[in-house]
Amino acid sequence: MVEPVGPNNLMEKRRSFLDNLSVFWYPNIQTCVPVFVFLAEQMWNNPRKRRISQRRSVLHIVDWWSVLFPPDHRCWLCDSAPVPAGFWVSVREKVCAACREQLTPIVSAGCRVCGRSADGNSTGICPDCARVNPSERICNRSAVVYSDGAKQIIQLFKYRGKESLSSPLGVWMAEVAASHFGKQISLVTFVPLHPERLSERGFNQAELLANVIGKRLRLPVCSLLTRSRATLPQSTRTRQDRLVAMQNVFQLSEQVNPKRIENKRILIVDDVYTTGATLRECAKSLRQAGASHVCSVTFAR
Amino acid sequence: MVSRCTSDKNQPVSIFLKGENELKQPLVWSSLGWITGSLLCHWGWKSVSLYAGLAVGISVLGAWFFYQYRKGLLVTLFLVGLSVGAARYAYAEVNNHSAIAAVVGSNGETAAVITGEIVSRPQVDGDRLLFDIKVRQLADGRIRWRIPEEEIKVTVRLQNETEWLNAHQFQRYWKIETLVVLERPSPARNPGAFDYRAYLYRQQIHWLAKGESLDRVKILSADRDHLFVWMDRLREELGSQIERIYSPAYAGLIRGMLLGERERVDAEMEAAYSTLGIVHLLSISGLHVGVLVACLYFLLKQTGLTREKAALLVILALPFYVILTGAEAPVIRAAIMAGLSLLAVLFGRWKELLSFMALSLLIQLAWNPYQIFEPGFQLTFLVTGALIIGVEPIARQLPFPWHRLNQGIAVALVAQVVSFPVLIYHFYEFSFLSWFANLLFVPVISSLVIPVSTAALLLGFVHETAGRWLAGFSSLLLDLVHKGTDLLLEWSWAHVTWVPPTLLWVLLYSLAAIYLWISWAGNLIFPGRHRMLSGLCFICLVAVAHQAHLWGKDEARIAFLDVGQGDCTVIETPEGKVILVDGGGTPFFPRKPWQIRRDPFEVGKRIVVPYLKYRGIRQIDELVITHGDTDHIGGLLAVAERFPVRRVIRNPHPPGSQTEKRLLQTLAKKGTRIYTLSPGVSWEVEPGIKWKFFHPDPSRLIGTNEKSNNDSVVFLLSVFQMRIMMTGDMEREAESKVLSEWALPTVDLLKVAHHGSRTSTQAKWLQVLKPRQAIISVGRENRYGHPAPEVLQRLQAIGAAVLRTDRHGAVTVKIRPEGIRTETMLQP
Repeated sequence: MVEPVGPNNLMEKRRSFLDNLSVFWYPNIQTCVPVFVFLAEQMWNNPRKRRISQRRSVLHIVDWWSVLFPPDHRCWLCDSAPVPAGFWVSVREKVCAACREQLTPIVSAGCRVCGRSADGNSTGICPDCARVNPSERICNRSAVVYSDGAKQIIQLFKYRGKESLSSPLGVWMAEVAASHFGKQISLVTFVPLHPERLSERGFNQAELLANVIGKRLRLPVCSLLTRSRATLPQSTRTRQDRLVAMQNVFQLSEQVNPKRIENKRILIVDDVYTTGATLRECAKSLRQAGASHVCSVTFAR
Repeated sequence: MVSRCTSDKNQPVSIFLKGENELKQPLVWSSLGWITGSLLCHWGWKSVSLYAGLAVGISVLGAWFFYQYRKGLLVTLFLVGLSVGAARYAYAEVNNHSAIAAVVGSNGETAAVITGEIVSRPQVDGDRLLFDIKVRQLADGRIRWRIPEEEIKVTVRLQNETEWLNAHQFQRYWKIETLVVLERPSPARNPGAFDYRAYLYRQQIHWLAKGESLDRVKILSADRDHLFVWMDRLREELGSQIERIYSPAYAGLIRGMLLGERERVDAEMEAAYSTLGIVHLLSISGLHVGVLVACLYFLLKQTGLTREKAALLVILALPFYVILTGAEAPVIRAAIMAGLSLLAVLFGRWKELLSFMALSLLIQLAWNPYQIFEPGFQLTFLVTGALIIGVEPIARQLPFPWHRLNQGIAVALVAQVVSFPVLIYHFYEFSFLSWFANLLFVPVISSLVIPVSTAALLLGFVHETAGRWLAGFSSLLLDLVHKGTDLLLEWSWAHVTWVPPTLLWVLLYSLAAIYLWISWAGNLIFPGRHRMLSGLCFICLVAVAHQAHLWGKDEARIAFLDVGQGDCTVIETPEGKVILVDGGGTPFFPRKPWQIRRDPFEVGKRIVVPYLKYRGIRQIDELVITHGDTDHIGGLLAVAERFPVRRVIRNPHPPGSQTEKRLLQTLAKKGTRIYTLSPGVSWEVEPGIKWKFFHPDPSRLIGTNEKSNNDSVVFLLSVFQMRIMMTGDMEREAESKVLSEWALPTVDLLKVAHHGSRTSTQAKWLQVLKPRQAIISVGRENRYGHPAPEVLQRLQAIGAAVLRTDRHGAVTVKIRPEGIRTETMLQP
């Protein structure tokens, strides 16, 4: 049975908070912290505990933290370091610092034809392009300089079959194409592979990139060209060989209605621009078919 | 670079594949589903078993689908969140009913003896002691009923100073028994007013209990040891420490800022902050938690602890801080997010703030699903979410060279855009200077005042003089802030009232804001057109909201507000002119210092101004002060301070009371012209709307300066052929005089004079006017016995339909050329 207590009795019982608790709390507050820290430290550094935590329990099979709180996107090149996520982040910034160091984005084109990187003194047209007949020149822009890093990426993509790279590379190239050619383009096409090579590799890297670019720029992507004879990979030849070997390799595909390209402005997509012979040959056959304007975009130059 | 492609073998296996099947922020999706589910259940069918069955079904189906096709996980999570959320809400709805209602009936007032346990921190506010009690037993007459734990709100009136002193001893978890009068909380009695019944319903409280005196409260057991009791005492101790080191002007403010004791903050200051849109600084918000956690963490690290140990210590301190500051939704949200961030430090993992926020949303809604309707809850989650995803991309779009500045501006912009619809939906008020005030004051208060005053508080325990010195520094800063707020408040053109938007508008606004954000901050390739279009959409929507008070205004609207015992009529014309006739008022009783409440009920501030804001009214064109009694002018001071008034029409008596003098001074200072009219004056307010004044005659006044009822301003308003007689407090003499001097037409609507007193509204007055409807503005259970039964009989005899603000709440009359429509807030 509880005894009723009137409020007046309580007045006498009233003690200040400090009176009440000082004996109990105050001397201990100073001692509490070190004791507590000591205990926490023991828990933290206990070697036995360490061993236990390293053993895999059922709960450790799944990494719950990464399931519940998924990490930021990984760098799409090396897949290790986290990079800022979100659709507002430009694809160039979704590369980790280490990878970015190995790539040199082409900020301003040194040559207004081939789009090679500016190296200080060059303005206007580079000597390589100057040698080419003006009517055969093709205006090209590239995302990065063809350095060792870029070479590795291209190899990974092309020869080691990492198809998923087509998405970031393509988006990057789309940004480049949009900033240089703007809305001039009405059709996207790509450098074809010979059917033999296609069955060997399983995919045409230029086609994958063109699909991504077309989707990003909201432009139709058409397979316009075919390769009439199998050439050895360009990378096995010297410069002069390349220029010669390429002549008249590309024809307009038979399935294509020539009216589709008449007076169109066409963007040709390829992975690398070295001498530009391939692209020029493509452009030549497209121009013959009636395209009003041909330009090209590649990942590396 | 390429070699790093190989995955780390020590990493645990993820159940979800990378790439296409990557699981993106599962908690965010399920919390979005949870919100949708709660809203669906709120507007739809409330059945726990249906939604629970749905949840099980969807999870099985989704798991099977994922097993088969390796996709669709996010949709599954969203739908599971939706059905579980709906089930939780339905469960809360099904169980949210009053057990007491089964005993004492669902309406009316009943005296009963209740026994139970105090479950909130008891607060003394002037002559009242307020607490929540969990009722265990209820004695109604002779029968004792056992109640399955229902919470009710208790107000005990304190009769004298001894009781007042004793009331301060009350503490949480005391068991008490007391005689109270039980009544249901009042629903909103005026359009746009705060719905107390719905608010308490969301806290699962269905009854208010009023105790007459502390003598009646019998304490069964006291002084229970409990963490919460300790925290209450600690809070009290910290509070009195603040009182010691701060001057009285700032002590209340600092108590509100540091300890979450919002009730200590000066009401005027709170209103000023609220107008400027920086009221979040006054209560403990997520910002405070963030600032304090950051300070504590870095201090601990400075003392030589490792990051992990510092994080562990701060995590352990967080729950205590939450309890200490009263566990409001924003604090819980911030504490959970801060705790998870510190856990991330502890485990050496990454932080994912959006998912952290989603988790705290899930926890809080699982705890109390009704919170989703509270403005504080909505604001804290919306603003935080928008800041997390919005600030960085916008900051990088801004042109200034200093990134911190860009971030600050982006924070202010995002917070404004997101909080705008919530604020105008709940509070009908949004200042165009709000972003500026936030940009100016938030950094000062969050990065200087709060840390400094926390330091002052703690230092005060060690060395009081040093604490005072620091307190002086933070007072100085607050002084500066207040100079700034005063300056900003003077620009009254910027503090705009808004009509609460429709849900459709809110939806469109959210879409436009998202579109705006994507087009400006998104990584679009050709953003030009979208930027223009989205900006245009956004501006249009804001303009629609800004002009909303003019939309669909083909009717005149006359609102007889329920201001208790008193008169207040708001007349809005089709063209948007506003005529305010009187402003209600609470009678003034002299009070001893201990009796004074922090924010005493004031009609103008609580009823008239909120109604004007709700209607989106920005200025008063004509203010008619019928006469100078407190129940007609008491609320007008708040109106005059908040809104510009163009013209005042009043009777010719010199101001009789202090209240009236102050009112007229305030009006005059703001440049309002004050007129008295001679009888017979008449003009057209706007096409179709005319008014004619009959009384008083400045040369032949009937009343005296003290008793001016008989010199009330009396006028006839005609709105498209409808005639409305406004009478003020005129009595028999004035009625006879008007009848003898004017040939009055019959009227459609009569505002019954003097709250239905027997000294007015005589039979011959009614026979001439023959009103079809009569409105009596009168307080519930008023001490004068208004309205008089005789008056009601006379009105009945003439065949007038009587509407009373004490029974019907506010009466709104909408007049169109085709006809008249009357709406009341309550159905008696």
